[in-house]
Amino acid sequence: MYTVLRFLHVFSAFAFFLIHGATAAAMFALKREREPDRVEGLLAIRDFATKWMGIPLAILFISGIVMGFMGRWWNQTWIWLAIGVFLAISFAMSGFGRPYHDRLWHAIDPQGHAPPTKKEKRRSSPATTEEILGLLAKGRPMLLTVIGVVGLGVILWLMMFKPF
Amino acid sequence: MYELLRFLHVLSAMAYFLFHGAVASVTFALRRNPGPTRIEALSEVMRLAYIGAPIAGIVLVLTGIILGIMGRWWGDRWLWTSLGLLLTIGVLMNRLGKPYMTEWFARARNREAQARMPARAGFAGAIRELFFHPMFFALMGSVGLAVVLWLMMFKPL
Repeated sequence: MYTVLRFLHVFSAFAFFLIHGATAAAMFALKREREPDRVEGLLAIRDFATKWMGIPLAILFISGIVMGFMGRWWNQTWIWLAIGVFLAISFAMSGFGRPYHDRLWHAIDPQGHAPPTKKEKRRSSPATTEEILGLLAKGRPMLLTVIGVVGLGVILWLMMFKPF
Repeated sequence: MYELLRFLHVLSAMAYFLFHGAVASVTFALRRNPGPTRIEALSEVMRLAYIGAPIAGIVLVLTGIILGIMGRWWGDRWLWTSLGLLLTIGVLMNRLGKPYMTEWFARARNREAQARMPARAGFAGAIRELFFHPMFFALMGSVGLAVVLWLMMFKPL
């Protein structure tokens, strides 16, 4: 049973990265984009991927929790560290990535998409090309990639080597 | 050393799927009539994905070969079965995926050509529609990955 769960855990991780890859590539493409008309297409890719990402993430999480009980790992430091790193990555991704996308959607389609925070005023009309280009330049895909890859490396190392 | 290579093998597999996911999402996005402007954005996503995927793929294969030698797995059938399966998936993805991309990119870039393009009728048309669909690629890739992963983790043969 434990091995089957481990299989599910690894498989769902691969599925998660497969779907998440679309978001990452769209983020890089957005940073280089200079044609506002194409921005909508890239944002749509990110939305499509985000919609499906939750399923493998839920399986990944549930299988991890159950394995933690079955393997009696919960009193070991490495599992808590791995969860901490995972949460830190999630917060960083949400903090840097989501507002950027929401702000761009709102700039392009203010009627269909709300501003990223309640403090920001809702636009009455779409943003100008200059404004959109300004928003595009604020993307930080490399920072998010470094956070994601280093974080993933650390989590994988903690899970495979169980050093603490 | 073996454990370190295994770590690299898994990490490179995850990186490979991260890059490959971008290509997969484009195959689905092409079906939703993206139009001439959006299609250029999709093309850029594909280009970015193709930069990273081969690097991760090479690391994945190299570490796999060395792990096979270090673990003395080359005499086991599970390794050859998973390699055969990987090759089959690779060839099928290439043979079906490339023409799919070419056709749908052409359709999206030229709406008039899309309107002129006759749909194939009958059994041949239905078969083509079935195998020439992103859902088929996704299913083939997922099932193949699950079997390869199962062979590697359980080493049943």
